[in-house]
Amino acid sequence: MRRPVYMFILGLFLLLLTACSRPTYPFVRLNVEAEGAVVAAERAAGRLPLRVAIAAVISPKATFDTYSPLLDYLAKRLDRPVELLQRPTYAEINELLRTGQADIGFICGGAYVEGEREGYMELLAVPEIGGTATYRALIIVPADSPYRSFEDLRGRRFAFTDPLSNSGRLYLQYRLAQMGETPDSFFGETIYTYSHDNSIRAVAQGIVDGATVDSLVFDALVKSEPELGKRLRIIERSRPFGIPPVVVHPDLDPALKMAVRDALIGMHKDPQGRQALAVLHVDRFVLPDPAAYESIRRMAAQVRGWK
Amino acid sequence: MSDHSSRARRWLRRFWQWITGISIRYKLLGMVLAVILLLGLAVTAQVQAQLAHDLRQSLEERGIALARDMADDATDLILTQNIFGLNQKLRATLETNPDVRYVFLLDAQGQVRAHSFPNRVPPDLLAVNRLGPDQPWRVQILDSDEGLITDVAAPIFEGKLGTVRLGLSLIAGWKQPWLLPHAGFCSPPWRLSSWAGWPCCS
Repeated sequence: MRRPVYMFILGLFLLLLTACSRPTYPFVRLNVEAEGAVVAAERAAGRLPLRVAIAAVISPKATFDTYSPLLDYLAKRLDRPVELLQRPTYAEINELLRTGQADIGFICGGAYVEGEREGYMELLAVPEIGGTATYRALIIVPADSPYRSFEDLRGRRFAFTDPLSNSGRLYLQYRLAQMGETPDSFFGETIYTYSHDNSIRAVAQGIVDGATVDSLVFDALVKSEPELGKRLRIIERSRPFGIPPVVVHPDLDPALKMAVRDALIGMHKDPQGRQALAVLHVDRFVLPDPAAYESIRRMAAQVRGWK
Repeated sequence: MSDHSSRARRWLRRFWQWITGISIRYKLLGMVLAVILLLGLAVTAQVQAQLAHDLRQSLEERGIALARDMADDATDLILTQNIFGLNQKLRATLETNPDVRYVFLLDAQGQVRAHSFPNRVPPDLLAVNRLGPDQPWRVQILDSDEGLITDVAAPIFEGKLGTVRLGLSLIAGWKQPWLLPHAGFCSPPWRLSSWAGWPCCS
């Protein structure tokens, strides 16, 4: 009779003695001097990559997602790695092309006329959308705002994209100059957002009262985010301008220049190329017409004080 | 062996006789005291265990918030190849959060992109807390030569640009070491609370 009682007491003691042992976590050595990984080299050994600079027409994340299929296509067609280069401003992208740190560039018309004038850019190809290689600047305001015309934005907060952008600044500067105004005299406050999608969101979120943006970016964004489109209203459209082109440095190896041009122009005939074009919302790439940028050159000459 | 067991049995028998020989008055008093003592110990254990659990949870949440914030800020810096800006961001995170022991960024191939260690990223760290493809974050407690570390992994740009790894030092973050998961607090008497389902140890 007493044995079960002893066993119970013994069992209880054993239970109490079963200490909560220290949980076992993986052991790591933090203080090791000689071992470990260093920062990896930026480029792997092998063929030199084609360095593609893309201006921040859209934000870096959106650029990465939108242009990655195009870069994969180019890598396959040219049989060499392709490196994506992005910078926060158009001026920095121009600098990459000027100094030969980038081989080709997808840039804005306003930045192109600057590089062309200084002799370090030439047109390689242009995208064609809906049978045309043009786009417009749009002046947008919040959908629920009282602003109906451009004049209503006098004294308000306004967003520009980049100092070198055509649709994101130059066009509006020119328009104001025609009115005998400057951005400082016309608007209460101006800011730079450094990409068109940022400007569109700044208007939708009420950070600014209006912005001037690229119609191609606006159309693509509103198509992918219809709710965003409902919060915006276009109050003015500019005349058509030459579309943001693909450019190279005039001194780039002619064989490479030709290979990249052929790859772009033949993109719509290749299944992988067609997929990449669909992501870009582009029908195909065509040969450029330098005359299409004449209106931007004229505006830049007046606004930037070119002799 | 049988000698030992018979001696233990004798000892237990004597103990039992002593217990049964005590007057009912003292037995009742003893039982009341024992219940009060056990209840007190149990309540203390429960409060401490809950406090330890809450602190550990808040530390993990802070680590996740810091790692995800770092991943978000790092995205544009990586995409614009702003290596200087990336390193400044690491430095600022360490300077403004004294309990952050380390931060390092891996690219999508698992190569080190930037780190806060003086020279190299310890190889042991690279082998642990690997993030799965669709995991929004992953927390793992690590033992180290500097004590326990809460290691948080968070993807950069949905993992397309790699992973952020951030280590929070438990000792630096917690001023009461007895609240640590492995502290003496979880010694035998407290085992009962754990056995009863309370979060004494984890």
